[in-house]
Amino acid sequence: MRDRPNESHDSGLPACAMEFIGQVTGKTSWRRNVREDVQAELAAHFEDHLRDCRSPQEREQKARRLIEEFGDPTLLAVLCRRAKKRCRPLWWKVLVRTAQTLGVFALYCVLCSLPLFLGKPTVRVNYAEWLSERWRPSQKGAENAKQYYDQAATLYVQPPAELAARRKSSGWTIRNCSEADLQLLGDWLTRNEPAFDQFRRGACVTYYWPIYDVGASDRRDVPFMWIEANVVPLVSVGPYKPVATGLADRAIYRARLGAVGEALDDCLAILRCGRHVEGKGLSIEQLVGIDVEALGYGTLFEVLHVSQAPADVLARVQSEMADAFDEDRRVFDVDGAKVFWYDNIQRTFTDDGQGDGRALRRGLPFASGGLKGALTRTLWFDYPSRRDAIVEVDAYFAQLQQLMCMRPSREDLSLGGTEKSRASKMNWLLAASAPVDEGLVRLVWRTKTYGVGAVTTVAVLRYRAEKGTYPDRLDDLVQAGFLASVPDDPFGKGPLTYNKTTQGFTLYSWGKNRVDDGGRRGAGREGTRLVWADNGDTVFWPVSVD
Amino acid sequence: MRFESQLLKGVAPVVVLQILSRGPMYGYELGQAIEQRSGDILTLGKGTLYPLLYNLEAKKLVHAKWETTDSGRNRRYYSITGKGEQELASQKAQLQGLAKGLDLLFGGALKAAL
Repeated sequence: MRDRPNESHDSGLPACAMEFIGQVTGKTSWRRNVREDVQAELAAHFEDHLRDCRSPQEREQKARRLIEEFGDPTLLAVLCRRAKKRCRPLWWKVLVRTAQTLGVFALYCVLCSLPLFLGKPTVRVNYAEWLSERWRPSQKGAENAKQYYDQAATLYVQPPAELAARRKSSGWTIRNCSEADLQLLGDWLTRNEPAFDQFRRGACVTYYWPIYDVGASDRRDVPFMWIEANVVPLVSVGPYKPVATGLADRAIYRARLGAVGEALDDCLAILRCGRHVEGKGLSIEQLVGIDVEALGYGTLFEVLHVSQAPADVLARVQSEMADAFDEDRRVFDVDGAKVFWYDNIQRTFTDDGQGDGRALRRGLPFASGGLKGALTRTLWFDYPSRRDAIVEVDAYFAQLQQLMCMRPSREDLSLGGTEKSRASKMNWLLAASAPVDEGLVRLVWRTKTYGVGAVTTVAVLRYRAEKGTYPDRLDDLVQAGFLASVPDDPFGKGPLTYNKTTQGFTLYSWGKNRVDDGGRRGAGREGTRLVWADNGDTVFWPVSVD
Repeated sequence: MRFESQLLKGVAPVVVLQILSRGPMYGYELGQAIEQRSGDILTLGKGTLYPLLYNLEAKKLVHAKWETTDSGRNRRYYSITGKGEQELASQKAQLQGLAKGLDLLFGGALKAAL
């Protein structure tokens, strides 16, 4: 006994019988072994029925009658299939049903996801071109300081390895280095004269505006994080910082040699360069500008500390820095950051359909409502529209710009509320960048505070140079006409804190913690003195000798 | 005498089980046996026979196995299972009850006719 027939039964049957059996088994969707079973069984039935026939004609006629008795082959196939289906075990049925359900769901998912893969974004705006035009002055023939800074960066000579190694050693400063080191430094600074000349020439130019490689932004194959692929190569201000650092070295070097006027001119050139670059262009560039300006202030304080500047020089410096009192000056412009997002949107959304365009797969991260909400919506195939994405980006940057104008002494310096509420409401990409942008707001105010501190320090020193004594209060500076108004401490609850001491004076801002620590300098985790720390005050004067 | 197909439809499984209760048979043989043993009163359409057998097999009331006969031919023999025997007993009891009810309904005419 066997479960399966071991030979073919279709030999010797009339053609009509074979055809009938073929029709029955052919119109089923059985598995091969089942189909062979049925085929063999029907063939056996015909064989038995035709067993007694003596002539082929008789076999043919009898076979046709049997076929008539069997009836419609399609119906027979359907009936057999239904009956056979019940033979399948339960686990098999469950498996098939599950597979079918999953298949239908997968098909549904594919159909719903199809819009993410169909269509192409239309890059209508060349944001590199837009950025290049955004800060270009309206005056025809206006000169751009950028060309001089670029030239300076090209001409700049790196410090010799020996000097670089000395600088890394602990406690080494230009103020206290040996004569040999000073000679080495002087030689290097001399080699950089052409670069410094170009730099200072640029600093004297009224206008600066960034210029970008328009073609670089026109690439179609930009991945989602195009900031890395596309924007960083556009940034050209990075090399300005080493030149500014070299110029800062020269300022201190000159101050040590007693050329305080020239030293302060170098400081002013650094400050002007910083102010040129900040508030324009991409975020990265603006950060470089802020960094250069901070370097300028730091150098200015050091020069003032190293040498005693005469009153007329201080008056000139003060005049140059007068605009530092303008709290409304735009240290950081969010437009440069916003175009990142606009360009991302135009490269990841189509510009047709509802909502001015639908998200392609790389546009999914622009779903609103936080990461959880975005995932839920994506699972429900509720994809973001271009309009929704733009509205959210606009709202975010409007809020950021508003924060830039709010004094950091206020407690509500946050984008989209607390971290929790931000994560649940805001687009997760924007929510992820919010802490950085909040830090940026504080950085902007730090820069402004640094400026206020520098101008006030110069005014106090000028008062001393002219009157022979330090002022008792900051009000004295206003009364003497050295300041237009008493300088406000953005991180405090009033003016900068000034105290006349036996050795001179102290001038400080309450700093990031917005608490008066009595002029105690902030420190890092390892006790390192920091100008801007989470603790302590930001002391402008006296200059730290650490 | 030929019955209406719908009338026979409900009885056909019991008939097949009853025939198979006497020994295994293959499809053709089974069709012949039904006709012979019912005195040609009951006949199962050929288009109904195999779907019915497959159905009974699916319900595990019959068991099928390929066997080679003495003449060397392969035949698929169907035999009743234990479950099939239980089902047959149950169906028979129901049919007897039905016959009794019909007999009462027809006032003995049915019995007299039979």
